Amino acid sequence: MTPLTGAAVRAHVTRAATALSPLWPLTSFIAVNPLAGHEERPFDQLNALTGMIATRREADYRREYQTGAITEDSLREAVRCEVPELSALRTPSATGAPTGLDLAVAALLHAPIDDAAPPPEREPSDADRYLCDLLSRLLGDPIYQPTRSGGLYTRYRSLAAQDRALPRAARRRLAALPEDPAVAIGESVRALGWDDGALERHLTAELQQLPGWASHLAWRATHTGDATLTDYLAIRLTLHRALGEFGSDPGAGGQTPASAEARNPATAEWAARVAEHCIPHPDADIVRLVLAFLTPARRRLIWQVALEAGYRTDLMARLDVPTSQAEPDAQLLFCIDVRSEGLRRHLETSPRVHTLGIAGFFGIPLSYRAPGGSSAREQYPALLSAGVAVTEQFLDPLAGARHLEQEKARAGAAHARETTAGAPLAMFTWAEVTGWLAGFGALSRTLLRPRRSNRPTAASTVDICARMTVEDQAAYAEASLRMVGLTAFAPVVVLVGHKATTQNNLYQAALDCGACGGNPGGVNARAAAAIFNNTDVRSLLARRGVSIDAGTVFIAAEHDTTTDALTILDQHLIPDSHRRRVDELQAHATVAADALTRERAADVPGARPSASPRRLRDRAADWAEMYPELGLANNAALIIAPRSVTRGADLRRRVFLHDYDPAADLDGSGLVNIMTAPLIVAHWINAQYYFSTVDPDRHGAGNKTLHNPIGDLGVMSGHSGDLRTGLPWQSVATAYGLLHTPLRLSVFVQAPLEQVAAIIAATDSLRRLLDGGWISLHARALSDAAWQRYGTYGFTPDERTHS
Amino acid sequence: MVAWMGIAIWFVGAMAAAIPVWSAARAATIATIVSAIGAVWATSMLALRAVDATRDAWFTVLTVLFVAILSTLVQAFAVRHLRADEAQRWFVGWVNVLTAGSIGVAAAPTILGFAAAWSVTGVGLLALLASYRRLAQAKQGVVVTGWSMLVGDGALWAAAIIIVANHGGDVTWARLPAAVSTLAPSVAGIAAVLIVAAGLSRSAQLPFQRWLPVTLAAPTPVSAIMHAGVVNAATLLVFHFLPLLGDIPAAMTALFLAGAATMVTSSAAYLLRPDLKGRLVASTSAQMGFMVMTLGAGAFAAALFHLFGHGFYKANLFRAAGSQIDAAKAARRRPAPVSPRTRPRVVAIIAAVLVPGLVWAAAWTLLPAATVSSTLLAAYGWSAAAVVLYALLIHVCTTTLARALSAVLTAAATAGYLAVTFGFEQLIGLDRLAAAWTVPWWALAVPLVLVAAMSTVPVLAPSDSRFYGLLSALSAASSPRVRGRGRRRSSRVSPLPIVKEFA
Repeated sequence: MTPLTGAAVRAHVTRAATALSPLWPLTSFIAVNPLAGHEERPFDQLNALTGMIATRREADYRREYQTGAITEDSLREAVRCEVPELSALRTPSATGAPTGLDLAVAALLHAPIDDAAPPPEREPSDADRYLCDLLSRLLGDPIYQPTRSGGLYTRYRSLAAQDRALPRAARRRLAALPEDPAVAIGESVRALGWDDGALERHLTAELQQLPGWASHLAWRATHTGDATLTDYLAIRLTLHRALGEFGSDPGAGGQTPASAEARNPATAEWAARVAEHCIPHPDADIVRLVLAFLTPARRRLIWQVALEAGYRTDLMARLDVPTSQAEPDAQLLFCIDVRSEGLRRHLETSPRVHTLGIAGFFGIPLSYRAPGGSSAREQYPALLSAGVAVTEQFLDPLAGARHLEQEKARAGAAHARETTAGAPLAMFTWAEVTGWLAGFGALSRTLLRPRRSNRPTAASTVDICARMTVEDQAAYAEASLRMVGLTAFAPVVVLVGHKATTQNNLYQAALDCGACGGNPGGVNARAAAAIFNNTDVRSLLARRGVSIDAGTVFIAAEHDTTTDALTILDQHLIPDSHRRRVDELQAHATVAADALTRERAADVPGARPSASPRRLRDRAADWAEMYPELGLANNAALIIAPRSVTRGADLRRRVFLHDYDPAADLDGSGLVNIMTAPLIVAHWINAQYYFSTVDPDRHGAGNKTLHNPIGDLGVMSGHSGDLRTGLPWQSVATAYGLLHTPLRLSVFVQAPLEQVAAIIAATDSLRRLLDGGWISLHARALSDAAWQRYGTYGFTPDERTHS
Repeated sequence: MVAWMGIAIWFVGAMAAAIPVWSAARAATIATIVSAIGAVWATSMLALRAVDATRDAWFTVLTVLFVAILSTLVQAFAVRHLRADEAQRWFVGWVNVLTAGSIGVAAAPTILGFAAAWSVTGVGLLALLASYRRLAQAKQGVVVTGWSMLVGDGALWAAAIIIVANHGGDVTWARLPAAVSTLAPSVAGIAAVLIVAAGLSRSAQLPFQRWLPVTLAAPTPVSAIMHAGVVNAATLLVFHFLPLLGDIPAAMTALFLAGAATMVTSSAAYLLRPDLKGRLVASTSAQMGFMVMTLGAGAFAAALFHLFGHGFYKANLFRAAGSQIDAAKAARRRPAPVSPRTRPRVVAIIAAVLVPGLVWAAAWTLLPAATVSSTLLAAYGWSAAAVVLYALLIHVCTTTLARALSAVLTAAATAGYLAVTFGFEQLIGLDRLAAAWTVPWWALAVPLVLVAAMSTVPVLAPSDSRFYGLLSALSAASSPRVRGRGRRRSSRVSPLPIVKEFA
């Protein structure tokens, strides 16, 4: 056979890698759909085609039915959707006889529970465990690691050949590897005798052997550029060959479970029980026919659909509460995050407070560097690729200089501590001498739980206005305003970013603002406020038809989702004329926060609503706490509509809320933007929670108490193994039950139907998600119209909403 | 007396977990309160000893207090850390068994009581490692640790039975010198080596070092109490059996060599481990090696001081295992550290060495004759003070006044530290046991110089992969070797599946 060229190998690798979704490092842990690579497949075929677990276990659903979370109505609806053949099934006998639908529902309720134990985890070979260890050494941050420059494969060649953990023969083989990773792959492929036609399948299978590391490298390849998947596959193949081990079974890419799912124990007993529960008793042949449709996988899917349908019915019934609205004193723009809904609802107990929902970076992508900071934070959604470089300017240069000195001293102390503890010799005496102090430190930390603040003490402003032209600023500003339909302004407009406050938490970034790249959103709020308060921007905006009155002030604030506190930022920028209003708002927010904390206490493990709100808030400063807050658990829907649709409705912190008003969105680009960006991000978050819950072994990160971090790039559980992906178990459940009810995202859009349909038709990714059943979408043109469900053949009325 | 009261207190804590009407969370809270009461009791025991109302050994009352505080801190942490976790109740029960056993190890009045407490501690440890026993990694941890414990406990019981059988009954510590003096020299030698083996196995020293790295599939609080408490047991063992071991040069030499070898190999592993908890494991092994080595050299008070200091230090590091990302984010927010220029650096080094050094020299002339322990402890103080002062001068202080102030404060802290350690050494008084044969103190220099050389590798040879080969060869002693095809059965590990039951 002819040798494979480097270019051919690289092309094969690229194709094989399409099934991987990137795994973001812990410092900017951004939600992704772990199955993004499978989105071209329909959701209901996921299990059959890839062997992935797509739903919960049948026993779980049956329990939901017993507790009333799934009603017979929604079950019926689900059967109608998922198995239309059954509702059309003609039953021979006269009126009153059970229909196909009746039989199917009875069959679902009496099915023999068939939850096959999850397939035993493939035990990684010695070579795989060594590979994990080696990659951690190369990409993580061990104290000594002599190869810091060059591509991953190059570094591997020089390091592994020296590693005495490997047998001598393997080291010799590794020392003789070719320099180019693609050539190394080509040689290995030839040596293994894989033919070109099956190459892509083989490579895909290889990438699936350690999905965590492969996903990390997929991220690395596009974000840091110091490693590629070609490097990774070259390392994988050469290492396995050097160890004389060839792990991956050609084509083992997950065809196995189909056989398990195909068998359908439509036992006589099941049929008898179904017949017994239907009056008059149906014909045995018909029952058998119905049961034949209901394979275990399909039954679970029907139950899942029923649960979602039930949730949607409940949600729709909660909407459109008539409320009396007064002229607003204050408008607050919150992130679409589901946690904003709680605070917004409690703030709106005052009719003179209005709130809106918008992506939490306020449409202003930033690359923010703290004053004097060593590196910048990417404060924008993962869908974008660059932000405006900003930093902070201190009002008082002296105070700024003092702050900088303090930060330098802290950095120096941290650096000194690190280098001291890092030297093996020093660590003996260090432990000895400081250990006693550590004992007292731990004591005070356990008893007193000190609070820490990271906010710069000196007053400062974000220098966005100096970094962008006025035209650009106005363009960003107009786009944001039109997107949420905000064209009439209250005297005070507050832009509320959000953050979480937790201690000792590797997954802190998963609780911060995802739209700000897994960072606190306060900086974006401050930058946006600066733009909106810029008089030049306002005059440009006025020319474009959005006039902001001189009496309107934009203010930045930050919502702490762990303590529910709303903190006004940049107090020095508030003019005296507005001081009273802001103080009133702050006081109102404090009351709202107490109510919200009490409400949340009903859901957070170990908290009681009757206890003081302080008890729950103290968790923000507690280094032992595993459940500081629930994050986005229980998220289920996205509503793209004016706040009037949802105002006054208790949505139980489960709904992403994005404001949208067709009247303000002249050219329709706002809706396009919402449906291709915030909607996709909401789906990513939803899918991450969904799969971390239904398949915690493969797509979740497991129990946090076992987490063993490797630098900042990820965790492994225990002392060896693959990088873990997804959310930790504590984000979605406790030992006693789920915190997150996995529901696929239900999207509701209030906008002209033809406009929505056109956007879906024009956007491939969106159409795949909808047609494949990864999300569902309902729309209506006006608030007095009925919701219509989007299907492959267009919108159809959802009959259940009429009641 | 001390032993029985202590065991009774933590037995109550263990029982709290067994009461089914209490939720796991409530049991955890109650057991923590009981443990805190135990800590108060241990403090009062110390006070009674201070006024000579009791006659227990000082190391006993101090260790009992240390165990009580450590257990209380870890349990208080776990109340929230293991909130709503499937393993919470299990943890509460067994961590209290472990604590009761540790109290017994420190305070048992007789040999058989000591051996029993030793084994109870081992059982408690294994049970805690089995918190998530469905997981393949946890199983591996229990099996590997179990074998080490079996060998070590077997050795201890064999030695205990030899001594007791010879004496014709259980032996109190006061009678131990008389009891061992009647042993035939060869039998005494065998008993001493068996006891050393028991200590090495419990403290994860060569050749028993392999169990500690595979114990990470247990909850973090288990690691905290294991690395801070359980692995220190060799020190207490040696203290109790000093009348026997001190007469057998082979035993003390074995302690010294095993400790030194473990310290060197684990230091190499420490430099190479990429994962946080793996690095902590390597660090514990090295620290324990250092401690066991100083025992062999007769620096008993220094070993005990190290035990306490390292215990609190390591317990903290494990519990803060989730802080790595906070630290990384803070580092990005702050200015990048600047490497200092040569001249201020040299000045800082000289000042950092001299200031605490002068304090030491002054203390040397004032205080009575130094023992190995007080010299060693003073050397720790000196080097730590030098490191701190250097960091203060170079990285933290920016004005001359601040620099002068930090020098003065460091000198004062060094003086205070010397006073404390000297007092501690006087109090423990173990170094002056006349009978003990120990490895000469200067032998400590050899492994320490080796480790010092190793410490300089990341600085002096940051990109020479030959040193990597050398270090990996050393660290291979404590990390699993990779084999090729066909020999995989011995080390099968799977990624951890978390299977949950919803009751």
